[in-house]
Amino acid sequence: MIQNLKDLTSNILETMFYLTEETEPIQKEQNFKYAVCIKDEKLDMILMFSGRTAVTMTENFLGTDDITDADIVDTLKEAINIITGNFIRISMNDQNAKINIPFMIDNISSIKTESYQTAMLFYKEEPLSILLKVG
Amino acid sequence: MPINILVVDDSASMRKVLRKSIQMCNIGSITFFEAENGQEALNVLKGEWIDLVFTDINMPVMDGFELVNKLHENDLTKNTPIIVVTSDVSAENAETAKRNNIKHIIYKPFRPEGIRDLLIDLLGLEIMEDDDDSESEGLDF
Repeated sequence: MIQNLKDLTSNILETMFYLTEETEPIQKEQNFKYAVCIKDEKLDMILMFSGRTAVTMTENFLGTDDITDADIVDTLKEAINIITGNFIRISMNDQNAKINIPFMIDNISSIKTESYQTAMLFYKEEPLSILLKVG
Repeated sequence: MPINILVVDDSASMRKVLRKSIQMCNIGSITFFEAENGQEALNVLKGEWIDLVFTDINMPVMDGFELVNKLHENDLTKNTPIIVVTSDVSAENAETAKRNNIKHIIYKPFRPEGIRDLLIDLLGLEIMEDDDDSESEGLDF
């Protein structure tokens, strides 16, 4: 299931945010600045972005390099909303679950990553971490 | 004469992206109006003639389906073309859209090219050549 989510995320980020996934770099830095989450009784999903990936993604999405932090937050929420909408209906085949409103997690170090299934995507040698808990 | 397009979405980023995507279609002069939810959209429609509505479904205050119903109930807006833009690809959502007489749905993720043919078809427009005069115009709110 996490592989499905990883593939779906890669596809959506390429289609709407013009981010093309790269191969895993030899040196990996896990310097996450933004974490966005959608949570309900069936699903808990978090995406963690480096500052540079979040900025690039937002600039690509909005088609301008004149962006604010509010633009970044709005874009990351939109991204997880699209990913969740597609993931719940297609991969989980759940036609009834209501999709909750996404929110930002300010204290990234408080996230207990070990309790999630995880996957990584890489953009410009920086990771995008996908965390998933189902059920 | 400019085409009046109303973009309804609670995400400011998504409204910007939709505007850019529509502008990239190069269908001539466009005046854009924006609303964060269905209720705001109705307020815009009280004061402006709108040729086409793009709306999200899941929004606070008044969602897209309720907005569509209100538009269909009003003689002045019952024939206004509506394009729903949503990331909810559920069969239930599609069925609700069908029940609400929504004929056009764009699922996210989308590329701007996906909007172009639909717009041309809906508005009966011809594609304009690229030149300086074909830049879209719009009001910023």
